[in-house]
Order: sequence, then structure tokens, then C-alpha cells
Amino acid sequence: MKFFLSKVLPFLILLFFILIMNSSILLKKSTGAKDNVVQHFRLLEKSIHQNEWLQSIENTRNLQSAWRIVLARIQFSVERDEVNNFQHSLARLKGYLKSQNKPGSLAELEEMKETWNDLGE
Amino acid sequence: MNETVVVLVRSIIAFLTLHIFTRLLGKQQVSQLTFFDYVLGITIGSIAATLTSDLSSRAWPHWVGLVSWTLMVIVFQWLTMHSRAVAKYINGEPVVLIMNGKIMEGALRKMRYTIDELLGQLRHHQIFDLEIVEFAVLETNGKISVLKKSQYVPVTPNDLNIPSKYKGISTELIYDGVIIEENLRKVNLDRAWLEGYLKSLNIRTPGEVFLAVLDTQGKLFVDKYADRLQNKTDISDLPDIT
Repeated sequence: MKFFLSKVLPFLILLFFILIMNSSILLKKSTGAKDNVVQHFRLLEKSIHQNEWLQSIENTRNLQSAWRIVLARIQFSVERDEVNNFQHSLARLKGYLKSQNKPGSLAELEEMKETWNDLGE
Repeated sequence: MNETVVVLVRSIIAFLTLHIFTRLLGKQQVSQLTFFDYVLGITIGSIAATLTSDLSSRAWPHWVGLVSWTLMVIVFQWLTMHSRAVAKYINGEPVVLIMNGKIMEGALRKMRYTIDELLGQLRHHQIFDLEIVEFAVLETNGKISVLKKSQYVPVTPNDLNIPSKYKGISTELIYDGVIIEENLRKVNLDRAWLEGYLKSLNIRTPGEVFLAVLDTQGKLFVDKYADRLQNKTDISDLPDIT
């Protein structure tokens, strides 16, 4: 018992902390359709290329919902600045979509993808 | 991103990590720390604080920094434990500031130690007259050790050839109203003996006792929750507002 409390328990606590602090890589992966950020990126890119602006706005909403689900999971292991960057890109993307600006929308989408890939790394 | 929750979780990580690491570093008292140990402590604490509240970067790099500093401290501790030469090189050496009653001005200057600091440290040792001091040594932790001239050292029972009793360490038998069974077993006593003893002091249950300590002479010190003091001494300067 003494060995467990003095050696094993602190080791397990430290191991648990290491897992929490590095969990984003694992927790970024989707568990279903609702939180599949990468899939929403693809759908959004496709609708922008096809100039389907209403569909793109709808896809952006879905992307935002998926992002919120994932953010709740990864918030302990990512930088606040990266989170802010993603959200600012999302806001700018909405503006470009409303003004039906294809190059701007695609540029923001690419930036969001890059931020997403860097998240937690 | 809920910043409050993130800071809370990071605080728990930093707090428990720091606690585990300080246990790893040993039980050196603050007074035993060298100046370098002191700086190390501040640095490690600072990293832990950043880990907690700097949300602009991930917790992981700060945690790795915390581990790295702690590991380096452990390596230094190991080296100083195993090599006297390395210990002296890392921690420095004690320096004699007063030798045979004479102040070593060169040593004072070298250690950037002023005469006021020296006199202040001597006063901490209840020495107000330099005439009493034979040796004063500046230790690596910045404190001074003093050897008084033999004519000013108090007489001990050993000087007078008076036999003295063994003191040893006392054992706690009751704390906060709860009998510590393990300690009772260690001193070859049992609950029945303790309860009987308490009854002889008009104490009905161990729950009435805050602390009971057995010394090596077999004498039990008992402090009850109910103190029943006739005249309480008030050391506060504040006016009584009741």
C-alpha cells in the first residue's frame, strides 16, 4: 500500500497529466458525422467551387457546430491563440460567403485548414 | 474555449506536478538551501505559474520545462551527494569571516558581505559584543555559524560530570480525538491501557483529547479540547470590540 501511494500513484497522476496535455491529436479525430471538421471542410470547399452560396453558408454553420464539439474536447491541450485564429478565420469566411467572394472564401478556408492541422502540435 | 475551466485544469496539473516533484527533490529546509537552490526554486515556481495561466501557449512545453529543471536539480543533487569536490564547486565553500576574534575584511569584501550584515547575523545568535566571538563562518546558504570563545560558552551537564537522562523522540498516541493504533503497537501498548490512563485523568473518551504524546520516560502528555483556563493571556494589541 505504501509503495502504491508513494511510487505508483504519483507515476499514474503524471501519466494522466501527460495524456491530457497531449490529447488534442487524438481528440481532434471525429467520433461521428456531427464533429467531423475535416469532412465539413471538404463539403464547404466543394460548394464554394460550385458557387452554391446558400449551401456554403449552411456548410459553414455545420462546420462551426462541429468545431464547437471538438473544441470542448481539445481545449486543455491547445493554444488559445490557435483557437482564436480559427474562430477569426471562420468569421471572415462568413463575410466572404455573404458577399459571394470566391477567392476570399477559398483563401480563408485554406487558412482554417492550416490552423486546424497545427492545432495541438 | 472556457478559459476558467482550462485555467482550473491547468492549475491542478501544475499544483500536483509541483507537489510530486518537490517530494522527489527531498526534504531540505528553506534555511538549508544554498543561493543557487533558492534561485532554482523560484525558476521552477515561475514555470509552474506560466503553465497555469499562460493560455497563449500549450501546457505541454511548460510541463516539459518543469520536468527538465527538476531533473537537472536531481542530477546536481546526485553529483553533490557523490562527490565532495563537485559539491564544493557547485555550492561553494564556507568562508571564515571572523578568525580568532579578528574580522577578515578581505573575506567580507570577496563575499560582498557588509559589516552591518555580519553584526546583524551575530545579533541573531544573541551576540551583541564582538569580543565574545572566536570564529564566525559564512555558510553556503548565506547564514553564519558562530563559535563563541570558551569562557562565554554555557556550562553543560557533561562539563560538570552530571549524569543526564536519555531524551529520544516522543510518540503521538492520540491526535484530534483519534487513537493512532499503529503508534500504540510500536510502543508495545494497547487501547485498554490508554483508555485506563485517560480515565485516571477524568477523561471519559479519547474524543475529548486533542493531543496525547508519550515520551521515552513513559510519561504521557495530554492536551484536552476543553482547556478551562482561569486567566487567559491576551497578546493582541487590538481593542476588544465585543
